[in-house]
Amino acid sequence: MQPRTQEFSKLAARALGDTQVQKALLGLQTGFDQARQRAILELTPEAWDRLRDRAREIRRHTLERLDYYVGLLADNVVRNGGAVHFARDAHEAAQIVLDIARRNGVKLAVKGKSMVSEEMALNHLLAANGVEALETDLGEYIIQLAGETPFHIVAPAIHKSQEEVAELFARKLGTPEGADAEALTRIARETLRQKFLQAGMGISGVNFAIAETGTVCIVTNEGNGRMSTSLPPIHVALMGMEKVTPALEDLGVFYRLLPRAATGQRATSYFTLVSGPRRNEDEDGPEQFHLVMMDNGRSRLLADPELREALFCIRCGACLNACPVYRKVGGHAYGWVYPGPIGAVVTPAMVGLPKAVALPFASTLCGACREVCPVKINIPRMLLKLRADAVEGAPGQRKASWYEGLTFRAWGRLMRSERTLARARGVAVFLQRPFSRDGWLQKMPLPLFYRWTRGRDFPTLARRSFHELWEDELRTSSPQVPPLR
Amino acid sequence: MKREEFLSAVRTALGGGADAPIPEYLPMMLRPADQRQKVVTIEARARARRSQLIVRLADMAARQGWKAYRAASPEDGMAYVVALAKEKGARSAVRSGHEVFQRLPLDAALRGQGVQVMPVALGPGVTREQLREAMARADLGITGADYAIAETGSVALLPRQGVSRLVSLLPPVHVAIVEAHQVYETLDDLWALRRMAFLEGNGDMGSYLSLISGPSRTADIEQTLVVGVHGPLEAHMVIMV
Ligand code: SF4
Repeated sequence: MQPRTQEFSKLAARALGDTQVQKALLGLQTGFDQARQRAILELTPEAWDRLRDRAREIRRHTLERLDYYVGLLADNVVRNGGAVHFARDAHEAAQIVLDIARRNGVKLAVKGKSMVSEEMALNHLLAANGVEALETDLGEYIIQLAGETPFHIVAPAIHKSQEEVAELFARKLGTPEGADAEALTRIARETLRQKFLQAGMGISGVNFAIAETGTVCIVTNEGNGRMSTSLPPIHVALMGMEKVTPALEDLGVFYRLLPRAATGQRATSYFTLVSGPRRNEDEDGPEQFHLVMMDNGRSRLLADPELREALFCIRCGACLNACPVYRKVGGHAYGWVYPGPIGAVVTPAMVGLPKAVALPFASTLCGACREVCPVKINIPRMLLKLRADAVEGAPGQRKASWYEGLTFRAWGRLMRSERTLARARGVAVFLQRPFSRDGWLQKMPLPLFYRWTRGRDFPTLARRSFHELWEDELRTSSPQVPPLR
Repeated sequence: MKREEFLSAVRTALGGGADAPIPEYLPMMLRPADQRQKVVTIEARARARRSQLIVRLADMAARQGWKAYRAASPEDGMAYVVALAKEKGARSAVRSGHEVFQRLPLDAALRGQGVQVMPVALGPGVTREQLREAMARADLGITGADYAIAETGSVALLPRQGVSRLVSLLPPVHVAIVEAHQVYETLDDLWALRRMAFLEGNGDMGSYLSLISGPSRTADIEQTLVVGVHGPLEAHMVIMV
């Protein structure tokens, strides 16, 4: 996938003007986010909090020795009869999958949901080389038919209305128009069922991978994950290397957190643990099992003590649903695979900060993401750090523009002296007059201010400052209070 | 990329060397004897609370979207399945080879109703492809269980002889027969039991574990819940009390 991270403003503006997208985004609040809250209440908030702390401990421990656990996982996958492949970046990972497909003469691959495969732009590479890769998760299937990218990491097609999907299916599959959600789901079931039975390869993502036992774990509701890992003769599992966890018991933490945080479920319909290909005595299952472990910028996050925490993420999407910015601009504005608060942190590591510089700024730093995060990731702190990197300029990166620097230097001077501030205030109150109407500035000159008022109004400076009011207050009230100066 | 290159890049990112000691992680340090003790405790707790656990299992299963039925006797349980087959107008069923079916003459009961029953068993004249065909065509998929978990209303299935994961996946209706002694309290119990199997199996706990907690479902279109996507449209849990 070609990043469009430089077009944030344009894409955001487009989403803001799209009534269907706005309606869908509202639904995320009443849907997923409230379901999440109910699920936490059912478990009790105290138990929830203990799980989150435990999850943090496990993630911290694992990442501190990620080399060891990745190696252990690889050893045990091999011991189970599987093959392990290592990929430095997304391109290399996609090439590995293509090679496996070619070696085995695969013409059709069925795919479960995998965000890592989006990083790899896998479908395109496979298609360009004569291998049809079919998305089977309903949301992903819709997205693929529409030729779009996922809008949300858990519900990829959530921005589309039922009518839009019905219209899309009618156009692409020749099904009757005006079908409702249930009918559309049945259509997908019928259409994809044959494909599952014919496919030469099944591709899945990985939610957790257990180092000690060489097991990949897949969390799904639709059953497509089970199908693509048991019907085709080859199963290829794709994972970001940070998904490894030491032991089976860790699932007691993560499989309690993920479904609740993602969709408010206490358990998903299916939780599938795969430990290698079918054994001789098994009645079904793939003959080959391949695990592709990908870095793609993750070691960059790992190396930065201030950003390592981003690798704690279990991709539940809760921070998207809670984010006041995501809830307005939606997933496509972020221009790459991972949207929302966590996307604003990991995307710069994957596509480079200079290209993704708008993302860390697309936040109000309200802290809602950190509050809902099942792993308590301190996203706002990392966004601030990325902003600092962007402005102060790690080598080769963007510096602040000259007028932004000038403005803040002037601001610094003003704030150091109360007298100067009061004087500047007086001037500003005078200068704002021609622009103000009913206490609001609707359009201001100068690039910095102009950009603010392009999308919203700015309150005018009050006629009298707080300082002045306070002085009055002191003069008329009890003398014990020490004067301000 | 070579494994060693990959790992050394990770090591560099961590700022550590290849000679760092093996990290200590508690669950991985338990000896088989300790784990055995843990499992004995879990089994004892499950036995002591069996009747409560069964009630809880049925309750949670229902909340997860199963049709849960507590059968008072084996005959009662079989009658439920036969009635279900009738209601669905089922003409064919596939059945996995779980042990419970040695005690439960379910095949005969279903055949008596004109339902064709195909057990999952390779043998003379039965190939993998034929089995797969049968499973893809069947109206009912009937399985036993390896474990049932009250906490989440789940059934866990493992690879065994005569057991295919497709039985609980391809037919539009899945029926899982759960026996009382298979019911455990929490997911943690399940992971502890599987670790025991892992230790006893010399590091092999089988090629898969399917934890099933209801029928297949989606909310991908406008967050509207639709039950029955790629997997079963209906899931029934019959608990033999
Ligand atoms: S950062 Fe936290 S809330 Fe956001 S997707 Fe990751 S785990 Fe979920």
